[in-house]
Amino acid sequence: MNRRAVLIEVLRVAIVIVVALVLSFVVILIISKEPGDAFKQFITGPLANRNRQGNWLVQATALTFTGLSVALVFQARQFALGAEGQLYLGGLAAGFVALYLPGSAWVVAIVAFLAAALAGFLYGLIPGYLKAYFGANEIVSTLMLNAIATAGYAFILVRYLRIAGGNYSASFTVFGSTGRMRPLIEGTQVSAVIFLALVLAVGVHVLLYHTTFGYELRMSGFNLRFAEYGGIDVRRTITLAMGLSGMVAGIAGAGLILGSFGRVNPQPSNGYGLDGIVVALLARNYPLATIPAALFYSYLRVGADVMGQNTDVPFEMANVIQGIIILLISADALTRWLRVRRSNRAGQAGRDTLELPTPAAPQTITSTQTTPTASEVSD
Amino acid sequence: MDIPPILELRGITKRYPNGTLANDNISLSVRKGEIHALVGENGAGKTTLMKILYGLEQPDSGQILLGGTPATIAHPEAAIRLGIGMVHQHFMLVPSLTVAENVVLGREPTRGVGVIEEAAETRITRELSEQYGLHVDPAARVDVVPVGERQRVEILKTLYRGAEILILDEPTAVLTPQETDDLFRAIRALVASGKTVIFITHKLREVKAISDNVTVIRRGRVIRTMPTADVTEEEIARLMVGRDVLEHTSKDAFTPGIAMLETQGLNYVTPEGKRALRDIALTLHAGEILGVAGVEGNGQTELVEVLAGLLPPAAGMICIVGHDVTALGTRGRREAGIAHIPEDRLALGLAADASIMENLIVDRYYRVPFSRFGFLRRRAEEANARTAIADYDVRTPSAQVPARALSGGNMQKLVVARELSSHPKILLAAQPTRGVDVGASELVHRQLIAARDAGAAVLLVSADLGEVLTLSDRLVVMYNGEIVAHFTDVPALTEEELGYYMLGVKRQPASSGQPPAN
Repeated sequence: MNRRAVLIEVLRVAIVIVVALVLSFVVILIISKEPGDAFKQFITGPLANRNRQGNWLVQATALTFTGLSVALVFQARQFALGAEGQLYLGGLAAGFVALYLPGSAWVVAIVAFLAAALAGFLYGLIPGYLKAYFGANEIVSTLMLNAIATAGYAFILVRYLRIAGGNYSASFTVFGSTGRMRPLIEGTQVSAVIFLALVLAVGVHVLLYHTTFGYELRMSGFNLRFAEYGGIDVRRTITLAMGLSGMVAGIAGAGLILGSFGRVNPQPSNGYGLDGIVVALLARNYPLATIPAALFYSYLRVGADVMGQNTDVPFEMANVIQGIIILLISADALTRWLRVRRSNRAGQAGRDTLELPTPAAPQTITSTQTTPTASEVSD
Repeated sequence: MDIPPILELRGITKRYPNGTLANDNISLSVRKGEIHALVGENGAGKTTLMKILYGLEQPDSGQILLGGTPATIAHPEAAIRLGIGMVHQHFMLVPSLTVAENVVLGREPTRGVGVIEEAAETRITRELSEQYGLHVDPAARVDVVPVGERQRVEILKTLYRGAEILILDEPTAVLTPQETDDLFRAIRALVASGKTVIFITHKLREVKAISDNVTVIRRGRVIRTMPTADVTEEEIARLMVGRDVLEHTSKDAFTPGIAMLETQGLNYVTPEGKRALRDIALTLHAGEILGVAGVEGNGQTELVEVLAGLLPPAAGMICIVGHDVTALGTRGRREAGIAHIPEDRLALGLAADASIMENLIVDRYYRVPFSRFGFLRRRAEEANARTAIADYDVRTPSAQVPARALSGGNMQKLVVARELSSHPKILLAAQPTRGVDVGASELVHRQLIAARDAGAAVLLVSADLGEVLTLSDRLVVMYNGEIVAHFTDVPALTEEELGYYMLGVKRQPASSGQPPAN
């Protein structure tokens, strides 16, 4: 990607962030009796003490995973929103391993993460297969599967994992007294999982841009009919893409269960699944960019939490900002305005030549080897 | 010369942000009642010029004068108000609405607050239609109306909005010879009633047939404007390209080899239930070009896509060198030796947002040297792109640029480069020079002949009769999903004769037992 395109994208994200913050300050101004203090808490809160800094990093780690998960499917132009459910199931799988597998901490941890990856992968394959071979809308299927996963998780937790004694959660013993993986920073929940997130971001980047599968995925995202015309098995590609996306989300769940909670928690996710979408949008679906995007967005979440606890501004402010960001980042008009500032509108047929793949209309697949179904190809 | 020209462009200059100088100090003057042809290669700047005139783009400098008065056209709304109407190459009609509804769309006659008067719609359409001799059926749904009539609807749209100057972009690209005659008659009638017509075309024969003056644009500059009567087609072509253009592409007599591709009883039914292919039987031999002529929409698109493996046939068999490939998908067909130049390069042949480099390897990325152990080898990709760009004269600043940045002709060259570089046994070429300038068309034609000389079996589907008559060794005509004619003596054919078969007026009786095309 050439330098100018990168610059424009960074500029675009920066403008969106600035506008969102300005707007949120206006809202705070309106609803708070001490807006200055509230905003100060919001902006500097996450850095105030070690506990909060740790919180920031832990959330950033989870959001990196889910951001990667969403970025993967968005690059294939599939609107799969299943990260939340896949996270839960991944967490559950990891929890099972940590509870029942004998062995050293390292072995247990590795097997647990692998189990989570597998669980997420399989759960992601379901909507992928349904979309690829039956044209089932992935927005609907993934959201419903999320509900199934979270409910199933709760059911298993309560029915099978509850430690006798009334505590509605099951703690691990393998990692030490706290049950969590050994923290890297004292007094926080920051563990080696953070490195895993970095490694995975690089891994997804390599997958997307340096492997044949990544090529298939991206071409299917750019133009599904073209991919098919060129000989790519688009069904297999879409199915696998969703599977891999689920795998990453499953790992997010493992990271939270093993690293943050030390037990199979009733609510392992704090909206990480859906917030992964915001992170992916901010990162413009580039895997390496999910790291700064996740860091930024988790900073906002923690800041809003601090503000919510210490001032009269409610935590929901974070949701307001999130909404503003999503609206702005999706606005094509912003990109166009940026270009018009340089000169008149660019490119062939009035379309932006530097437009990067935004999650626009999800694509459907016409069947090739079976009798034609009544599905259209939209782009 | 007291009355100022109805339209004058002075010193129009436009540079795109990526650096391309699309229009370089272009000046043009058109008198009222004139038929003015604008010719030039794709990427020459005539599309940009018309966009500026229609308010879709803004010039960096220069003036537009209408009737002597300077005008600013910031938006198509302004252009329409100033009496400029444009008929685009790709029609902008709503298929599910009637002709009358389409004509008045956006400016419907209303009674009271926003209640559309349907009777008025029909009346207006009928009146305009009669006034200008543009026959249409106001009550017909646009999606069942033939292409020639759709074009008339587009023209009526502009007239309804009070266009005095009509810009027609490649109007005859989709018409049969008979329909083209009808269109020219309509243009003459429009001009006789005081309208002015500017039309953009690549077809020099038509420039000679109908225009009063012709302007040649090359690389953003006006080369010359002259009365059409004073120039020959060769001279115009030379001015367009800057060198002698051998459009009479010569080819040696063909000696067809073995049957490369055979299909029997091929049927295809669209998802909507329409039978688009009816018992098609064809044989393609090595070293020949089999032309398929026909008005678009008679099954040619489906034929090519079924052969390419994109659409599943409802019945029938496809064999390549004796092997049944009917069950194979696109990759299987490609590996069996089929290459496919699609008729819609943007929808099918390219991923517009992917880089040129990436577009060029879609059929081979999984093979050595482009990938090893599942990893892409960038160097091989780059080398491949460099070769393709050089060999096929693709004008681009680099191989990293997204395909979208290329002009239509260069996009097509890219597709051709990719498809031919796989040295296919069978080449399916659908409308290979549609929307492509003279220089690039010439290159494509030369490549098709070269492929045929190298032993490939070429299927050439084209609505451009000149192209199909020049290149084909054998020719079939498709009408309503069937092959209705088969000609082995192509040089003896005339466009008129072909037109009759294309319109379903004439039909060759199928010999008993023998499939018509063999």
